[in-house]
Amino acid sequence: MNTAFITEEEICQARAFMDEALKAGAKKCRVTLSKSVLDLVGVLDGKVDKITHSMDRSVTLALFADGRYGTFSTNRLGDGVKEFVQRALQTVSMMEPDAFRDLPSPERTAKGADNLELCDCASYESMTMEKRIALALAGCVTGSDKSILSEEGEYSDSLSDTVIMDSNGTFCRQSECTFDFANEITVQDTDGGKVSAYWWVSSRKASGAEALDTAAVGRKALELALAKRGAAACEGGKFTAVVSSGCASRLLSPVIGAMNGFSIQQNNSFLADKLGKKIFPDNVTVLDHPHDKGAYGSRIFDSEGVATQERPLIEKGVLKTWFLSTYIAGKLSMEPTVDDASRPVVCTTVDKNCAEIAEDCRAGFAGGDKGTILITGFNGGNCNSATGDFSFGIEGFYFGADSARPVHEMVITGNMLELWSNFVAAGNDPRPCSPRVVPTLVFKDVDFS
Amino acid sequence: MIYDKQYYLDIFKVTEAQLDELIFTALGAGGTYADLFFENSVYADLMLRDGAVASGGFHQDYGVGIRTLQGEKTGYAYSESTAPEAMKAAAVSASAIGSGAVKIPGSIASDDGYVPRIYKGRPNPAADRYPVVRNWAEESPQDLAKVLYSVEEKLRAAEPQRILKVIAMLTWQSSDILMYNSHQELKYETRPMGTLAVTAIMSDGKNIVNSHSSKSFRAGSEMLSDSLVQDLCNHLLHGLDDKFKAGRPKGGKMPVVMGAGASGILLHEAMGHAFEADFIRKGQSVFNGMLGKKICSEDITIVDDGTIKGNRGALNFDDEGVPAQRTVMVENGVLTSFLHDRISAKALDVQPTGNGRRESFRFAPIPRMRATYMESGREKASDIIASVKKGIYVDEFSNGQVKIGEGDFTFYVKSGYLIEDGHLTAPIKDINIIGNGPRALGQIRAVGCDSVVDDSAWTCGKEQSAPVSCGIPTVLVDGLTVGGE
Repeated sequence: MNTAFITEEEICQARAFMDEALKAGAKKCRVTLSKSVLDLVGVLDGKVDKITHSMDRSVTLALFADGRYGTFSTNRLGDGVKEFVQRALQTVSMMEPDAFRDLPSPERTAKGADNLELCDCASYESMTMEKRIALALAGCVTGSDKSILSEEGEYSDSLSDTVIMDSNGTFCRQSECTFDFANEITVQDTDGGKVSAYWWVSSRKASGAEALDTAAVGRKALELALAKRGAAACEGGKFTAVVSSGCASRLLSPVIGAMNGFSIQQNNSFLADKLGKKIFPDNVTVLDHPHDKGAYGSRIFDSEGVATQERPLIEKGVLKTWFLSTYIAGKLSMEPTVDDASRPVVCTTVDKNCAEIAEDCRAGFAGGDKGTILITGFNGGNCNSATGDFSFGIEGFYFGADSARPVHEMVITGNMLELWSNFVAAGNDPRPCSPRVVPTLVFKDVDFS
Repeated sequence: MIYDKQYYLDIFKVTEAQLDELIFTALGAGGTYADLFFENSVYADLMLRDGAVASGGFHQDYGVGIRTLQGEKTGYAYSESTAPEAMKAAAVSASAIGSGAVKIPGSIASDDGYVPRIYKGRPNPAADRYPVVRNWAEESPQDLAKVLYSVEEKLRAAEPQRILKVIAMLTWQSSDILMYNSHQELKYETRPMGTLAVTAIMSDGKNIVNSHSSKSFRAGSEMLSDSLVQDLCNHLLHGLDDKFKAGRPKGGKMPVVMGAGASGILLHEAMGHAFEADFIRKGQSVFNGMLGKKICSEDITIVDDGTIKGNRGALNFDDEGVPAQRTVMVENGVLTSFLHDRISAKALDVQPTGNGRRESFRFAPIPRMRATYMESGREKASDIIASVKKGIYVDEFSNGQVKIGEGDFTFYVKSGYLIEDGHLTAPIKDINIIGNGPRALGQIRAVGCDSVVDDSAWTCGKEQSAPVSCGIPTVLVDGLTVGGE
């Protein structure tokens, strides 16, 4: 086991915070111990520009005393535990009582260590600085195209380990490692300006068939940048929008956010009165898959140590759950679930990838009167959590009856409930390195400006 | 706040001799420059929700970041312990970037002849830009909670019918900083920050409106005055009737009048980021090659300022120990300076501008903005609005973003008004505005005489988070794309 992993000594140090808190008058206590190590190699125009090495440890205490509550953290594990806890309890004693603050019941919490295959220790321990530099440089394409003005790549690998224990006897642990490479390439535009594009991959393995192909990332970033040359805005109106899997999670995130119990309890969610109701068409199904082995977003427990479960979030258009922590569930007089989505999966409705769907649109599939816009990236914007009204900057490609051209400096505007009511299809191409499993999505009648 | 040197050496349990040893180790593999950044931060928060201040806490973060440069290349590592062996290990990791660099003996000049300016002076408490009258750590949470209760009381008194929920939050921070580098520059200070923020969820029976307001300063708890609380509440409730009536305009290209103050996000996103010289060094900025050229109307002067006392973006020194300054980026329409850290300054053969900032000791510094604003022009705001036949006026914003290479920027408008025949008419909300930085600068047709630096809790998210502020007078920009129905 790598030395970056949490040691028994560190677990004892974390437990000392809990013991001290209980001894000093806390009724209940939860301790979260986190440790991570990250190595990074940055490359600029085909040369090493930055090397960093970082290692972090922290302990976070949730204290429950006399019906009162507070959270406290420190990265000084073995230093002044008694003083830290006493000061924390003193702060808690000055809070107003809150009857809904409590630890999750023991039967709801996860037990032991994960078996999700998120951490390939052999892969991680095989890495050396020389290998990291070689992987970073292998992703560079500087010199392969004369229009390249700048190339910035970043290879990193990280190892993280989390332990949650509480005074009800909960003890659970999850370890994870990941290998990542990203590349951003800026090329000369046709008008003398600049165009940039970004691509990235992540893998759980450092070697073998699943290992990072950094060279492919560089080529893909260059391909995307070159394709964006000559972009211009097109006349606004209602278009069919094809949203590529590289960015489609942006349109799922506000929906997931609106299922958050805190927003619902505060009347700040557009899904506040929608539980159990049909909010989207029959072909919209979103499942939470927290236990997919080796997958990004998988986890066996949430921030309270509550065991995650496979569950439908939206099934055939019906909203099936909210994310309710122990505290929020108490306030809403409901049964608790988990604090958030882990690995939401938008179910495929058409067995095609982005390019195939775009080609279908070009040929008339789901095409609106004015044609189709393929969205390949978002640029800023926001969604009003209370109403679902949104407005996002976009870039991508316009497909007319007999022409296709890159577009940028455009905005889509609408309401999340209306947008998803106009859902047409979900492709088969979610990115495997994303914790939100969202394939290419198609919506009709989207307002573009 | 600036205490004496020994206060900081004691906190980090180091001696000046140890600082020199660490620098020696960090340069051991041939680096050309090295620096140390010690940090001891305490963050604390109190939250009022559902009528009670029932949650809060504090968080300690302590460690040292060690950086070695070889020319423009960076090696970086940090330690959460200041035990000698832990710091030495971090210094060795950072030193890995150096390999065979040659330093001219007896000179601070690098082998390409660049001579950095040296800032030997010790921190001067008399010149402190954020003296603390009342230390946050000495306040009782109960007394601080009273401020949150007063926020809710004032809001509910003003809006007894429509307010459903109030969430008020008070956060404060105190960071002890000690910096030392291979030029033997030693800097130290304690940076305070206090933020009072409130969100109210309101309903008129038909529609729900969520409104947010915040005030943030580098100051002690003396910032928590009655007038600050009143300002915060007034800002949150400003134009509330119109927010319930607001709709979306018809989208398209149109003139946009940016209200004075928070519209400074236009500068931050559209121009400020592209002026940050790491993007210039990497050849990525849309403003590469434009230094000294006229890029907009001569009515326009744009400044990035770290010297505004108590401002959220104020600094005595940046995170490389360079004294903060007022940097004029655009003067009378001419691009006069980029924003530099030590690396970009060397690459472009200029001196740093005090913009090398980092989120914490965990990060190497990069060029970041501080308080970025446009100076006042000559027009009256009312005349600017009156000059627009059909467009929009915007006065409340949330997040923004920019694509550095293209210069395309966006920002999200929480509220504003249609302008029809020179008058503000129907209220609008929840739209995104998109434009292109250099083009938008060239399309500024009028600059008001009412520049204001906004004191809300703006945080920039370029790679690392950093507190900033922004400001602008009323300006008229032609031809921005407005999202709409």
